Amino acid sequence: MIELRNLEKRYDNPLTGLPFYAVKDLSLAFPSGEITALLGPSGCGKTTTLRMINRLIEPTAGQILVEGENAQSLKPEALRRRIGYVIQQIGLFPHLTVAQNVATVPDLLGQPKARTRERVRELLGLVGLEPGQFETKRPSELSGGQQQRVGVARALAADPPVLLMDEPFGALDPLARDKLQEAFREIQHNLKKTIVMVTHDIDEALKLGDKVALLNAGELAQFGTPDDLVRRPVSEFVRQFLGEDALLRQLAGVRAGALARAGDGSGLPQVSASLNARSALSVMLRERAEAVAVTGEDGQISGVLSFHDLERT
Amino acid sequence: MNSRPLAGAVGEHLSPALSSAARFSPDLQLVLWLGAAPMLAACWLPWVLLRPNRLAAGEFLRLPPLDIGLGLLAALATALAGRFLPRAVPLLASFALSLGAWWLGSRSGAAVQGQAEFARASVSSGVWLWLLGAAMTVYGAGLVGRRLGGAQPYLAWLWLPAVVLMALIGHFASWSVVAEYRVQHDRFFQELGRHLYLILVALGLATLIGAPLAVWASRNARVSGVVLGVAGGVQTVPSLALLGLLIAPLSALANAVPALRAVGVSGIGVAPALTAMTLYALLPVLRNGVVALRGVLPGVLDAARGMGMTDNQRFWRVQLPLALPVWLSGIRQAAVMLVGVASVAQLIGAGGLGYFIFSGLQSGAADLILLGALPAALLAIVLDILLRGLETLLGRRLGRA
Ligand SMILES: Nc1ncnc2c1ncn2[C@@H]1O[C@H](COP(=O)(O)OP(=O)(O)OP(=O)(O)O)[C@@H](O)[C@H]1O
Ligand SMILES: [Mg+2]
Repeated sequence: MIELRNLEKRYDNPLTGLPFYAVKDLSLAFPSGEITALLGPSGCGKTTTLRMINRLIEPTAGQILVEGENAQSLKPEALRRRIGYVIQQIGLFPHLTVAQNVATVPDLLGQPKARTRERVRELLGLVGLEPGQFETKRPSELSGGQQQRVGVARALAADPPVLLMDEPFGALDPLARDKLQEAFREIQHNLKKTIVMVTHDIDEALKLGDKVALLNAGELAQFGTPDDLVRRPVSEFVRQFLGEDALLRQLAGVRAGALARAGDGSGLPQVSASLNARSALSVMLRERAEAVAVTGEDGQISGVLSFHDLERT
Repeated sequence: MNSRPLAGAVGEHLSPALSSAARFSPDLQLVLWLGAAPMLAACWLPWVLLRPNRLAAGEFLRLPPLDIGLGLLAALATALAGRFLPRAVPLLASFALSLGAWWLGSRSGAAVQGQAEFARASVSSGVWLWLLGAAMTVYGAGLVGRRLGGAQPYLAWLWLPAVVLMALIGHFASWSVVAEYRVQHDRFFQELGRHLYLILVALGLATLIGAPLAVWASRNARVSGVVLGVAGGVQTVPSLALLGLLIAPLSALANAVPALRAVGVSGIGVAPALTAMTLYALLPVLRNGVVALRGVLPGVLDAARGMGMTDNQRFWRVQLPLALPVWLSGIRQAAVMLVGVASVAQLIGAGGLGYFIFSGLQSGAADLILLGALPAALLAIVLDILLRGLETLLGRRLGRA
């Protein structure tokens, strides 16, 4: 678990001498084994908060506890080697091969070469890159999506309990982003890391975040599950930031199959279980139906999704 | 309805050669003509200057009529091939340049035939003009060859083995510069060695001093302002003036500290020459170093820090390897520049190929000047090619290519 206690980052304007709070009095606990999305408008202090956790930025006040230990009491390098870090511009080392890139932290930790080599192959497989094909490539020979996958593999290499990600899928086109988000959700399902993920993409936060922390001008606007933010916004800012179609955005991140219930679907319009719930709703509206039948991969009806089911995402 | 068959008919009447020539932009043909023009003129100019000894006045000899015809033909053929038969251009250009070299040897050989031992056959304006034109043609042919692909680009380099072969079989033996070389054989290698020594030591010193300074400057805007300013200031002082300026302080230093004098420090000679050359080489080493180190993407350095590298690890493992290829190009610039500066080092008694240049200037012996100048030019070209090769190699190894 990562805990922020009254965290503050203040910059003093060198001209006017006036203080500016990039992050102000932020107290927050990122639950273990879950993804917390740090969401907020541009310049609200998301990156600053994230980089204070692995001490790439030193806070001006407050405390950070990583697994109960005070981050300030650790050597920054030692702390960072225990925390996976994925940055927005990917930041792969262009002069090293994919395998060498992934092996960065294990090498820094002095782990045995043979074991690291095994680990690299395993990780590349995990992020969906065929090891034999990609190991010896240079980052410049990869697509943006492949590079980002390597970035994720590199962050996971030393099996850190905590993963920090700064807009990891930001630089990708929508299609590649979707695919990588799916793959990432799958990986996290198995690994159960404590993940803090910065994003300014509301859909991404609602889709991937087990919890969402919404920041506004350096302060916490709301912290809770996606449901909390969408259905129970605590302030006008939260409601406005998520927008009037927040519910639809949330539905877009859920598969129809996940909401369906057992039932007799004969005679109803059919949708595939892998379709997202928002599209299923669209089908209901188009067909003027109160419910749709959800079909599995084999084409057989596996359940029924009714309008009321959509209300309890 | 009618326009289609008509267009087809016109297309059929175009010869294959013409349609392939059409792929080449007019600028390539212009380069070839710019090369052909001096060659055409060269055919009519004096080719060899024959003198009874190396200082006496002499008579100009021209090409025999048959050779003039061959020369005109070769020059025209290369230029016209650019328009009508591009595939022949690289070969023809190589031929033109080899022909010039061949005539250089054969005409000077013919000139000294039956003359007294001290007779000298220097090459005259015709040779220089022809070689200039042929070099331009070869350059153009290289571009043509690259567009044609296949083995064509290499055909444009065929002149090189041809000329080397001529040199090996002693074809140029009668040329006055080679005659000078034969007389000064030992001295030539001594001065060439000195020239190389000056360059390499100065380059090594500049890198040794410049590298840490560049690292420091790349991290600190104020330092980089001062360091680059000073190095740039040194660069604006003419090399001769700098050599002169160093005489006073260095001789004072040598007089004050006998130990220094014992290891060879004095106002004239190698010490001030090396000092000046090192100062000159400092700017390219520094400037490229700072640019290269700062040019490493911030995201990459940030990732290195985020992975938990210490500052030292980040520098040695990430920043330096990524900066090295660009930095090396600064060292290459310095090396090429030093070939030139080393040539004037003779003026303060440091030796080098400048020895021949300046003794030639003093005695009015053009051949002696060439004996110094030609190898110096060649040295610069060879150094450039070697270091460029190292750059590409390193760049590829470090993932830039
Ligand atoms: N070194 C600095 N000096 C002064 N102000 C800074 C500094 N670094 C960041 N800031 C300010 O702190 C605020 C928060 O920056 P931060 O990078 O955390 O924003 P962000 O939420 O990540 O935004 P984005 O979504 O655009 O990445 C911004 O207003 C920024 O201008
Ligand atoms: Mg940011």
